[in-house]
Amino acid sequence: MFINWALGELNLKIVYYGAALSGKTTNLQYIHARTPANLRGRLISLKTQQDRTLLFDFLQLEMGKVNNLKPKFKLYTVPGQVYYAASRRLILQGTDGVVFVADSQAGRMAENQESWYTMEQHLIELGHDISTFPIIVQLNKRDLPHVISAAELRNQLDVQQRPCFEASALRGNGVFDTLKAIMNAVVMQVRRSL
Amino acid sequence: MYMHGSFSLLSPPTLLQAFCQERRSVYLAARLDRTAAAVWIWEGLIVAATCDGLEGHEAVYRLAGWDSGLFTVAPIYTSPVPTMEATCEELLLEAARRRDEDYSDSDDMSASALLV
Repeated sequence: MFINWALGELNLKIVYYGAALSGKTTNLQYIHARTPANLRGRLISLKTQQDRTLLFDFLQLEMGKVNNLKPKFKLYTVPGQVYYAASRRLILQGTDGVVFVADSQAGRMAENQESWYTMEQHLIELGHDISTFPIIVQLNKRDLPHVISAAELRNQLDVQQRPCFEASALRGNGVFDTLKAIMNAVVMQVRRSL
Repeated sequence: MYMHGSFSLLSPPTLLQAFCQERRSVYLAARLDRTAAAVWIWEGLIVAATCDGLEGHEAVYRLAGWDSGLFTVAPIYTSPVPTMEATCEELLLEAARRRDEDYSDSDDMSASALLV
């Protein structure tokens, strides 16, 4: 969270985290394409191996003000490959909430679990309390064949009571449900802390 | 009106992000041993930079990796001649990506030493 006093904005940061090719980039591209141009910033794209790192910001007018400050959300993806640790840590610094994008395909469980583990480690290192930190889980690629059941995926990731949304980011299914859930969770957390 | 400090207390990425997020117009001069760096920020965008003989984007990538050194920041009131135009985040994320990829090519460095 960053309070921009001069502009009367509350800058809130949401990071889409997950294994390489899990669909983080597709989520952000879909959201950016459907956000009115006058409310969003430029989509910045940095190429990494296999993945891309994307970011853009947008004003959320429907949500109302928080302590008289306009909430402005900045969405990021992290590069999924294991060795981009410094990049992931930089992106997670100051984050207010995380969307964990899990790949539902049966053959991707090891990558999902590794990614979940590193996300928790980074958040703990950054001083967050994992039990209360806003994390929404998106079970992506539900439209593909050979996906494991949502219940099994939740169990394998040990997501416990965290909200989960089934999605197909490529088709747009579940993308905005996930986004609304994390925005609400982040704003609720901010209101609790003020 | 100046601000002085040490990068051992406030890292270059944190300092640059603070001025850019507030959309300030400032000149940052920094020194690490015999190496000098300078960054011009105009209304929140990095518009020129030099570091250790490098200019533009490469200079910011180099400065982002400093973990010590001293800096001075002063406001500027007229736009400098821009030699680049980039958001702070774009530059810092690229700097982090390069460090990660440099590390992945190296066998004898500790990953934790590269974390920002």
